[in-house]
Amino acid sequence: MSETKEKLIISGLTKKFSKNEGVENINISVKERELLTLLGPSGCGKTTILRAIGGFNKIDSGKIILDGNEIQDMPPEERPTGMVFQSYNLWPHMTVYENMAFGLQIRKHSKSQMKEEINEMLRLVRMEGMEKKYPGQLSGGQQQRIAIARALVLKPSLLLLDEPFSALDAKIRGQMREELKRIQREAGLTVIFVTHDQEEAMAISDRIAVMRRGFMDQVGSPEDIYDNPRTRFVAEFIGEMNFLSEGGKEYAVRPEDITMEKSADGDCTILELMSLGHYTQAIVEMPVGGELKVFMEKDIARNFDTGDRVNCIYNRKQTFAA
Amino acid sequence: MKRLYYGLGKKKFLEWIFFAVFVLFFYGPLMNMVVLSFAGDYEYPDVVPTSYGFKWWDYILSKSQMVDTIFTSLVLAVVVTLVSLLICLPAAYAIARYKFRGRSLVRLSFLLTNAFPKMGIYTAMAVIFYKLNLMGTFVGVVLVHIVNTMMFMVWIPSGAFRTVHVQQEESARDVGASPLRVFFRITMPMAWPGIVVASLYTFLGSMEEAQGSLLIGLPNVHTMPSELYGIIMSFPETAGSVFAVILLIPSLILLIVFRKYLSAEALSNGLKM
Repeated sequence: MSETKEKLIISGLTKKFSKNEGVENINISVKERELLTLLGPSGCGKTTILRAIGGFNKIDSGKIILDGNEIQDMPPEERPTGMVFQSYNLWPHMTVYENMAFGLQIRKHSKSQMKEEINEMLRLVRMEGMEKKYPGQLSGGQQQRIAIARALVLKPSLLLLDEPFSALDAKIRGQMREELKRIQREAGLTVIFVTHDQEEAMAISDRIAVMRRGFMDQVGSPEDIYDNPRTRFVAEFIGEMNFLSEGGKEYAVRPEDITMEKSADGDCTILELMSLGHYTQAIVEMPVGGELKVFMEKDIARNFDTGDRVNCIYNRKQTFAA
Repeated sequence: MKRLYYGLGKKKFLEWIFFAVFVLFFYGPLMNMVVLSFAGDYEYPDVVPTSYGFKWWDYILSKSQMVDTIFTSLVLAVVVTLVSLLICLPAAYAIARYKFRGRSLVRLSFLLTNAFPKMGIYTAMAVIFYKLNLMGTFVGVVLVHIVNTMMFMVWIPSGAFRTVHVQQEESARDVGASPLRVFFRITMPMAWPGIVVASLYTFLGSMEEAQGSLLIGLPNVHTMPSELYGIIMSFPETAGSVFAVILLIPSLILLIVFRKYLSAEALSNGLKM
């Protein structure tokens, strides 16, 4: 596979709202057709970065280079980016068609061309035939699809998504993830996605940047971040993690990296067994106090009962600098 | 009466009495005014005229000075509404959107003109207007009216602007609209009901304003309400009624045309789209 070129380069981006709030010296780049997720708890600065790229936050210093052009000083209307917010994207006094045509009219596209482009986009987000509806007549998920279609119809160089699915029901959120992935693949989009939902980030990202308090703790592929978290924060934030101390040192073990062996003189006790569909979760009490979470296959779980004495074997342990 | 009382039951009967009093209280004077305006012969102690006709309508409409005041009032109300829209909408938007030092003070200051006795303010204004040669001018009267209507024109649209979400404006910027275009194509249309209601209040307020017009406008600018004072004092009651009915017509038309913005439902929804 040939090396794809850098689409967006951010260097030394700083935006401070106050002494402790904001981001400082952010450096990251996004490749062509890549979906990069900025992931972190609220207040970590992920939205600040996204809004800086979209032009909605004036940055204090640094450079934002998109397709080789510096865009950090442009107002949002001149930037070739398309943004979708968490909610209230659509204009309720306009129909779906008028919503989508708004940007095209400003760009002076002809009527027939406009109609064709809008229809094509509605097809892409699977919302054909909705042109005449008003946003108030659509469900939350449909509204977000239209918002994405409205951004895409302008052929943005970079799509910015600010928690676009977090106001939706869990089930629809899952569907929308898959839809987004498909749309990204079909349209060959470069996307920056902001979320606080680590599961969502794991599912859709090519690369994830885990953020905390204005810094990027780790940037890498979902597998890499899951398997080799660089800091304790990342380990705790991504997926499930057990922390146990042995001989004054703290270890981190994933629940699926623990094997339980039944033994009459085992030092752990199974407190609870919970079937979570395709796997089973066990809560185990440790001899030194504290509880462990263990994941196992359903077939293996059949051998255990609540109250069983077991020995826990840690197949893979990690340590972090304090 | 007894038949009605037992027929309806005690509770229903009382409700009906209340309703009747209510109707009489609100619509009685109005009906009386309309009836009197079409009187032919009428003398004071009578409740209704002894004969009917258009005598007093002819009388009022034949006086060119009175007809002129109708036009003056209409033009004045339109000008006042437009000028206060121009001044107050940006202020309303700023108060709704931007956090700045002293914002609540600014918001309150629009209330001040309505918090003090009007006559005192008008007199103070008159003193200044004398120096500026604005006494007895159309511009002077426009300014007096705007002082009155500013509160509606700032507070109501400001509330309406607040119902427009920042994201909705930002997405419009994002697809390529300049800030001005965003305001006229996105923000204004979404706040439209609030702006309409405020404009209605302003228009109607200007139509019925008398004190300020009287003090600042005379002797050159005669509006309908200020003229009404003279008519009531120097003509029979019936002439006053005709004039009052004429004064009522624009208000009625506006209320009917814009009734969908004035419904209790629209007002309680905070004038959202």
